[in-house]
Amino acid sequence: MSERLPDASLSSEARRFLAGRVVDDPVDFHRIDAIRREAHDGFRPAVDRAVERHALEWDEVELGGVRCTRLRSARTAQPRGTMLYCFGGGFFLGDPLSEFPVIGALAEWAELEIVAPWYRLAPEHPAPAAGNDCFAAWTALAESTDAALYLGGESAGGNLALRTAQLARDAGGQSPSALALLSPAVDLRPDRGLFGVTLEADPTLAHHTMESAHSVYVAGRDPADPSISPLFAGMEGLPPTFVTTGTRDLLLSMCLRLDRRMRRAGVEVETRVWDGLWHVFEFYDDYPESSESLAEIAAFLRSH
Amino acid sequence: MTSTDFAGRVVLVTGGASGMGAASARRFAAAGATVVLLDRNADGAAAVAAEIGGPEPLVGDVSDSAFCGEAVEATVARHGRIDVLVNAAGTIHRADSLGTDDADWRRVMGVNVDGMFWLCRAALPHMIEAGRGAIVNFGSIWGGVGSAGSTAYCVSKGAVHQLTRALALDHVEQGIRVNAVAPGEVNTPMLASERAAPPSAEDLQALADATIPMKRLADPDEIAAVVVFLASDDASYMTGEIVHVDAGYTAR
Repeated sequence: MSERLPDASLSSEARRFLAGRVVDDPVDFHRIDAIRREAHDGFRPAVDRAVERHALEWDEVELGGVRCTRLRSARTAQPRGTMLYCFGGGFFLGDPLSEFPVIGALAEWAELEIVAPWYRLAPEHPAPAAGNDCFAAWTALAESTDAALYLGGESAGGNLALRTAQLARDAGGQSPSALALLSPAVDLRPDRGLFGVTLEADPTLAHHTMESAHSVYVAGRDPADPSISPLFAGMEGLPPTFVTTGTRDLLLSMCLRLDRRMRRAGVEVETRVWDGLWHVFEFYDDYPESSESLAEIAAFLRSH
Repeated sequence: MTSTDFAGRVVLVTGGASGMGAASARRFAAAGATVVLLDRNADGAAAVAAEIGGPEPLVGDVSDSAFCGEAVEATVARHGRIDVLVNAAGTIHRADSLGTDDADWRRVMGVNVDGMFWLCRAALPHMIEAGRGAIVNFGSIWGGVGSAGSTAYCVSKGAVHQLTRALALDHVEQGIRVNAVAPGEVNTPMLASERAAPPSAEDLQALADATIPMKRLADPDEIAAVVVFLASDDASYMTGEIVHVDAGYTAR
């Protein structure tokens, strides 16, 4: 595809990234420990660059019985507030440390302290374990501080962040001042043709891989249940929300359906659809578009 | 899932303030559903909502197309979805054609047919997006057989039966089932409405003895049981069906 389309709007770095393709195989869950370790090690150079670039300092805290990594930039003397950020990785992969390129940028540019829960992963812990962990951490965070609070997440973590915001609203507790969702995976129903025009267009994520990951998380429950697909919970009363996606994002369709549902429910939502870019392109720090998008997200958070 | 499990599902019940709508709402709530009541009777709807622990009801007249659209949008905005629509709102005019003026005709058709159509049309796009959904309409024994002295009502319920069949065929490939219950004589506020005097227990027994093989009126809950079944996954092979719940009335 990169040979046929000029992608003139992309940086040369982003165009080089496009040359790499993913294989569309289901996840081999027999190798799950190795897969997680390889991913973590593979992201390590980008994590090290982020630590330096954003002057990151971090420690570990426990919130609501959930281990969390707490992060801030040494360049921010007094953070404006705290953001709970849910990492991505298809509910089976990932950890807060691998997110440093994203949450490090938000910590510095939005001038926030970031708290990232190590929520439990599938297949060892199917739904709703991850959602319960994030909401428990949020509840404990809200009880521990009077500071302005924010919620964010990417991909699977976008699902968990949105669900946490819905649960916080329903519980009548403290709601976040704003919500930032990067390519959120808000609709986990399988086999519904929901990936639309971006099927086979995303260089980072493929259809069968994603559905195999979702299936072990859903684990026989109703995938349309709002605790699993928060697209199907009420949006009314949610805080201002910023969504990013791209025209190559495998999840573009569900991001746009989320945007529509939020608008119809009267939520102040801004959705950025980046030309030619892919699923959570902000995660990869190797091209200027990711920094530009993270700076926009940070500006949105600062203004709320 | 069995018919007794509606956990996580959102059910919109029109005419939910009384009678068979309220009875259906109670059963759906007991089965774990989030039940949104829609009725023009604000106090009655609020009382039923409080009883079943449901959210704030939607108050308005189903014959108002704009209100029906807003009610569905509000339901989705607040609760994210509409899994089941139960069209129980209904009215009756007890007169033959010569006793039915334009306003009487419009009122009966407006509530019983127009309102049902407005609500189905508003809810269907959300069910189509979800890839599933169930609609249960309230028809009547008098939608299939005639009866003297209620012309507009008989016509309206015949239209309900045909609306049910047509919608079922239109949306069968989208995973949506549309069925109707056709109740017989049920002990509800509507049964007593538009009569010269409220019927006594003896009057009602006389009515039952004269017209119903079982010789008794239905309790609204006996209709609600069938409504919940039709909305449940247990009825997964049923669509476009008019289910008579009439103690043998139309068996003759």
